[in-house]
Parts: sequence; C-alpha cells; structure tokens
Amino acid sequence: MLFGEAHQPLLGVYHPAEAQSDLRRGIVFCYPFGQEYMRSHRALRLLADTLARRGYHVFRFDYRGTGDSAGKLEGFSPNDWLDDIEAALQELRDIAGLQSIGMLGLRLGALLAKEVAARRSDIEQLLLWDPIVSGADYLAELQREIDSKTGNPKSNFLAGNGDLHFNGFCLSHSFQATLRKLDVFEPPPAPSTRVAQFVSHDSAEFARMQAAYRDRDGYTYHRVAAPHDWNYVDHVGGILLPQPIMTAIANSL
Amino acid sequence: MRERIIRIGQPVSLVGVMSEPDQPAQGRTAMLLMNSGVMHRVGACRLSVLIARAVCEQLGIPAVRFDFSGVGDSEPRHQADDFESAGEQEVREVMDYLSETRGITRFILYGLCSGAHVACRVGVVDPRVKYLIQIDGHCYATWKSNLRHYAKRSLSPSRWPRAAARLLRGDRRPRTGAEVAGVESRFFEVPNFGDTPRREDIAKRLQGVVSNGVTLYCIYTGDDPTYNYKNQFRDCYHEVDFGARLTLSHLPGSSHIVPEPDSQVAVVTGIVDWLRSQKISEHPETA
Repeated sequence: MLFGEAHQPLLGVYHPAEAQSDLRRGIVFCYPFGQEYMRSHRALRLLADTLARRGYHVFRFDYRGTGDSAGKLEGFSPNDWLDDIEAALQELRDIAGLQSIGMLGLRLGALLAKEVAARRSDIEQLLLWDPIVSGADYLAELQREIDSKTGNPKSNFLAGNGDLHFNGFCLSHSFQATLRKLDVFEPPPAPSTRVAQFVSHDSAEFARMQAAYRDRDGYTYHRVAAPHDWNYVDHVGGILLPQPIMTAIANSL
Repeated sequence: MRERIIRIGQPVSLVGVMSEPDQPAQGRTAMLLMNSGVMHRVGACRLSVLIARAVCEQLGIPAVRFDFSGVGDSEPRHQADDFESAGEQEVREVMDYLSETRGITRFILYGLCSGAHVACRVGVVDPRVKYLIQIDGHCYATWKSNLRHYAKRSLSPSRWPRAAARLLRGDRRPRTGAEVAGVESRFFEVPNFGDTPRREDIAKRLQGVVSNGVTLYCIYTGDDPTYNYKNQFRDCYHEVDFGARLTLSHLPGSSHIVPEPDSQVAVVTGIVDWLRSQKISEHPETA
C-alpha cells in the first residue's frame, strides 16, 4: 500500500495477524540504511510473516528516498524518517485497530525507533536488533572503512561537498549532521516502553548500551550468535538469513 | 509521474510497482524491470527504481518493477522450477496483465545479471518483446579478451605464486556463493540459477531474439576481468546476425551491482538516451 503524504507517498506492506488473539497487537519494522536495507529485506519480510502467524499485525515500510517510496535519498534527513515512522505507526493503528503497538528496528532502524519511542508514550515494546548505538560512531565506522581502502574507492568515499557515499548509497552532508546528534541514550524511551536488545555478536558499543539500560524496568538483553555483516556487497545475488536471531526475536514475544 | 502498487495473478499474486506518466500514456509500450537474484524489486543499489522513474518521467513510458514469486514481496509459487524458467513464465504473465488492463502490446525488458538472462529467454518466445536492455548478461571469453586478460596478469609478478599454486592443485572448481561471501550456507540464500548454459545455446537464443525483431542494448560492467573490451559481446556471438539491432556499452569502472554514483548516472542516462534514440515515444500510433 501507499500511505503518508500524497505528494511523497511511502510504500508499506501490511501483514495481518493470522492467529486469533485476545489482544490486538502490532509491530512496525524500521529498516536499516543503504546496502544493509537491501541485504536484510528478505530476513525482515520472513520475520514479519512469522510474527503474523503468531498473532501480531506487522507493518514494514520504506522511508522517504529509499526503496519504493517517493523521492531521492539525498533530499531527506533522519528527521524526515522519524516522521515516516510516526506515519507508519498511525497507519498500522488505523488499519488494525490495535490495543498495543511496538517497533522492531535493525541497525540504523533501531536507533530511529528508539528516537520515536522517546517522543511517545504509547510504544509498549521496542526490539532493537544489533542497534547502532550512536549516529556519530556509525559515521565514524563508515569513515574508517573508507580510510582503510579495503572497499571500492569509487563507491565508498567522502565527496568534496561533504556527502558520504557508501556501497551505492549517499548520506548527504545535512543527513550526517542530523544523524550525528542521535544516540540510544538521550533521550531515553518513555518509561512505560519495554526495551529488548538483541545482539548477534559482542561489541563495546552493545556493552555500553547494555550498561546504560541495565537498571531500566522491563529491559532484557539477548546475545544470539548469528551472521551480521549487513554491509557486505554481495555479487552472487545472495541474501543473508540469520535464522538464530530471527527465531530468538520471534520467541521473545 | 505517479506510482501505484499492482498485484498480478491469483491465488498467489506477483507484487509490483507501476510508474505511470501524469498524462495517460499515448503509446502502447511499457518497460518491465526484473529481479536480480533474490534482491527485491528496487534493484541493486535501488537502480531499478532510478531507471523506472527516469524512463517514465523523461520518455513518458510506463515502467513496472515487480518481484518474481518467492522473491521480495511475492509469495512462492513454482517450487520445482529454477529461477529462470519460473521467471520466464511470470514475465509473460505480467505482460498479459498489462495487455488486458492497459492495452500495452509492446515491451521493453530490463534485467541485470540473472534478470538479463530471464529477459533474453522471454525475447525468444514472446513476440511482444521489442527491446532488451541487459546489464552483465551471458557472455564468454574470446581469444582477444583472453589475450588481454592473461597478458595483463602475466605482467604482474605478484600474481604468479597464486597462479602457480592453483595450477599445481588443479583447482578449477568454481566457488559457491556462500564461499565467496564467507557466510555459512545455512544462513545464506541464493536462488537456483540452473546450470551455466553453453555459449552455443546462448548464441542460438540471441539469434532467436534478433530474428523476432528485438533490438538490444547490452551493458557490461568491469566486474568480470575477462570481459575487457567494448565489442567482446559481438565477437563472442560472431555467428549471430545482429546487424544494426545491437548497441554495446562497456563501463570498466563499474562494479556488477553498480554502486558507484558515476556509474549509476551513466547507466540510467545511457538507458534513457538509448530508448530515446529508438524514437518509441515520438510515434505513439506505432509505439
């Protein structure tokens, strides 16, 4: 379906709950960025199917300037994408008449989902999968990749105008400026939101988030070893399906 | 330009997005863009979206990008068929749908890699296909490309030890996709592309395409070092009488999935300019 503003429609996919449930529960999926989005699309679609079979109404969508949604990537900022998540939450509420709603975010999607959960009091559950803990650290990670010259220098580079090109996608200078200000710590999600952090491997960033959230009511931490190289550029037409962590997320609900 | 979601076929629908010009299309030609591997319909690096929108906005030609069954948002259908034969049936199904609902009778097929292979198969069997645009479709080494490739390598002493080791091992087995990606195969999904066809079979297929009156635009990236000069495609299929029905483009600075911004511009512009040169939109009564 197309939803959102008429002049900049967003593409969304609704997975109605297949199992009967006393509660009408819904989850909005927040995709990661760039090549990670391409590489995780199938995994998130299969996870949405699984959750629908278990009685959840699920909604996936493309942010403005990504996927099938309107516009070019260079024209938008993370703030636009936060508005898109809000629109997706409203769309799912309208379609499914929900009693409770949550969000699942992967990588950059997790950071954006947290940001929206801090703005609202109606997000019951926040599932953060290999979250980007800090926008500044994410940009530094991409810059390190560029500096290491292990990738393709024609696709991975910082342009003279400040735009950062990485694996076929562009983070404009203004996009980076906004992203740099975001992190999972401040502002925190509303107190009523239960946060679950799923990690596929150990990292200092994940540990930093765990330490900051440890004493929060309802917080859980799940380490499930699984492939996680979302930014790998695949040349054989293959897709990453990290089943262990997908199963763990589904079983946690 | 406006876009709408289309669902084609019952009971298991194929899902696609159709880009349509603001003014109703005057012609009877539409473009179909197909999946590459199991990447969903937006295409590697969103290239299919960029191409579909450029063709629609600049040439007024409707464009449909869609997912084969079992890919992207389309549910699985043909459990037993390989990717290309299932794809061939489904492209024709989408063409039927557009013929019935929009009066479209002529088609431009676009595909990258496996999508190009499917497009070529359809071009042989369906007379509604008038134009084929393929990126990194089937092509094989020629004596000239081998000479260029191995001459270059032989001048690079750093390659000699590895080449010698491979020769001694007799290791000619192609690596699987999972091995190339460095991911355990149980966590990695690659479509069943079927066996690699023989050059002679592809030549016959291309001859069939040309005999059907199809015009081709073939782009080769620099990803395969054994494709290393612009006219290699023509040399490889020397027995096919392409005449003036073939345009070749070689982008040695581009990778297979076209992540480089300059290459993306070159591909999109190249396709739009080539289609414009075919004068499809200027002759709506015949287009």
